[in-house]
Amino acid sequence: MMNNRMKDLLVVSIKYYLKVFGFMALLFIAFLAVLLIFGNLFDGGDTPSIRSMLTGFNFPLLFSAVLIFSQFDQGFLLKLQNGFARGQIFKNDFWMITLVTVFVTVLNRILHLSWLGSNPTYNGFFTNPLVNFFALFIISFLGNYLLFIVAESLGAFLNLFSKKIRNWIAILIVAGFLFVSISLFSGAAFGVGMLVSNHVIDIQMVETILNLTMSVLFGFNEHGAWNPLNMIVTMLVGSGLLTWLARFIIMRVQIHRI
Amino acid sequence: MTTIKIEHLNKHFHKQSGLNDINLTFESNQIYGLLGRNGAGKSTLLNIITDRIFANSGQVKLDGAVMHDNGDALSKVFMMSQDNLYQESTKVQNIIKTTAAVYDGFDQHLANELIQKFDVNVKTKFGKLSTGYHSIVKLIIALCVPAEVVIFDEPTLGLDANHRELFYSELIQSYSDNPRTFIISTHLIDEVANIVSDVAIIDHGAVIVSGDNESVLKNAHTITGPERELDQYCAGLNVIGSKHLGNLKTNYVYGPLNDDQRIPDTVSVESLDLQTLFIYLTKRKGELENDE
Amino acid sequence: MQFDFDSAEPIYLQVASQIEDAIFTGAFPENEQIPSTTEISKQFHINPATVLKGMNILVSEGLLEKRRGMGTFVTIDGQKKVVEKRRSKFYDDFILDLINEADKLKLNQADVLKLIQRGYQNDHN
Repeated sequence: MMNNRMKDLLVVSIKYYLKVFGFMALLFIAFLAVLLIFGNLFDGGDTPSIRSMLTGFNFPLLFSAVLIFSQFDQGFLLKLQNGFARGQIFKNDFWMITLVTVFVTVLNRILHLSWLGSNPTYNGFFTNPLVNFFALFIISFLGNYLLFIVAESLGAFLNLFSKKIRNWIAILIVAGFLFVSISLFSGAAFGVGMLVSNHVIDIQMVETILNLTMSVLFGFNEHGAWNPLNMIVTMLVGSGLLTWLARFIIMRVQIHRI
Repeated sequence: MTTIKIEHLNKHFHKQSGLNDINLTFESNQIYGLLGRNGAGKSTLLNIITDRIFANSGQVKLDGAVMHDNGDALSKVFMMSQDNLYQESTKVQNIIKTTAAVYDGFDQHLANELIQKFDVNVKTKFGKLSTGYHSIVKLIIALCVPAEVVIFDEPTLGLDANHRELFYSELIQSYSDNPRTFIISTHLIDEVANIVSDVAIIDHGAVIVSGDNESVLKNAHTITGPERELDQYCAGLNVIGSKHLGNLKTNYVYGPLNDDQRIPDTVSVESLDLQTLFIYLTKRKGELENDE
Repeated sequence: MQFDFDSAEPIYLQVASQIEDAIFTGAFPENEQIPSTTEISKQFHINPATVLKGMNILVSEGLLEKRRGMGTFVTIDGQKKVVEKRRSKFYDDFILDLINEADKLKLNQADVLKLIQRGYQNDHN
């Protein structure tokens, strides 16, 4: 299936990711060292510890997603320059994302980090702990893959537009993100509280809608039977759709003359 | 043998002019000159050939196979483009290393030699280089890649006279050592006039002249004589421009002469060089108007 | 060697005549190797096929010969052949032109002969 050039390209991509990850690992170790010197590496009473920071913030996952998103355009141009077709570029990116997903999933399992895989309600559906572990691993894997393929699609999507428009979109996204988070953390919370207390918004209904959305997207069913298989099937379908979307976009990216 | 065939290619842009029914063939192992003024559509055409942008209609074929999204075909055609597709933060040596990694048979030996001759500091980041050295790095890579067709888009952009000289010498050396198809796209006709064996002149997104150098120039004439007799002789010929000096007039003619008509003694017919032919074929309204 | 690119003559003919000139003057001696196609091509930025075409004219005229695996050489009697060739063309290239021009200037045969004599005398003084 894979010809020599594709293998060569995958090796180049792997080396690139290893380099970036290695660099981040070094930074992280340095960061840990600083914290070790200045204090609270371990649980220290009321002050937030590194451990709680790690579990609260899935760093490897988010960093990888940002990396996949941000390196798309340079990677794409380089591959075009080196005579690769868009179909090959997609294939290469797909394998690369799969590898990164495996890496991040394993790392997160080691660090006991996972936004889904550690869900206590899914954990324990199977009586065999090994099957249980695998089910959760796959859920975790698919969850991470979904995030990465979205990052890839978004990176490709932005490259459909010229640099000027791309910058505007990026500014809009950042501005929107800031606006949402600021609203959430300040006035909005208060406002929603008011609305809820005045029965304008039925909090129960919001919850139902959220659950419904989640169950459609990820098979994350708050009131379901907690069968990981259901979730895996929905996630597989979602992954397939998003992978197809990523390919659809990549096949349409052109270079933009400066 | 690698032949690129362009069939009925059209490309429209919102603002700038695109391409208009381009039909061209690039045979193997020739040095082609793709000539045109700035904005004539040369880069657009080359970007479509290498599948970097899409045509609205028509297609490009390599040995009969459509090139669009064809990895096999695309790997055989390397383009040194005006656009920098390399990452600015990457060191030159790493750019070369990556290229060599994905092209089996990359000529590392030649690369090292050229790096020395052009005095490239390979430890510099690509983005830190001057325009001239951007071109040089891209040229070196293009000459060392084992592609059967190598396209140069304005190769000497930003190069000083010595480096231009060196580049064309190295191009010929590389061609002699390993004959393959070169397509040199440029608006500097004089530089390549004798190097290319075939030319295609593009203007306003259309091919206005194409063929091998010799047959193109066979049809290009400078005809000089007294105005009345000259105009009489040139009636019906494709006069692309003229110059006056008192009563003496020079007509530039592109196309076959009328063999049945005797050339008057006072009228002399000489050939026309590529540069002058190009200038008169691609002039815009208002340019060279003093000559009319 | 020198090339006049603005000249009306096709480049391959210029290549041939330049090499011929060099053989005539002895710059490329008989039975010795001349620069390769690539060398000439590189130096003057001329397409190698064009240079080859020019050289092949001289090969067919017997001024140059290709020796397998060694390169291109001036033939043993190359210089002699150039002289012969130029002598035979002397009438066409110079005498006919001379008479033509003399006619335009209304100089008759005696005038021209006299001028030729004067030329020889000046030359030998």
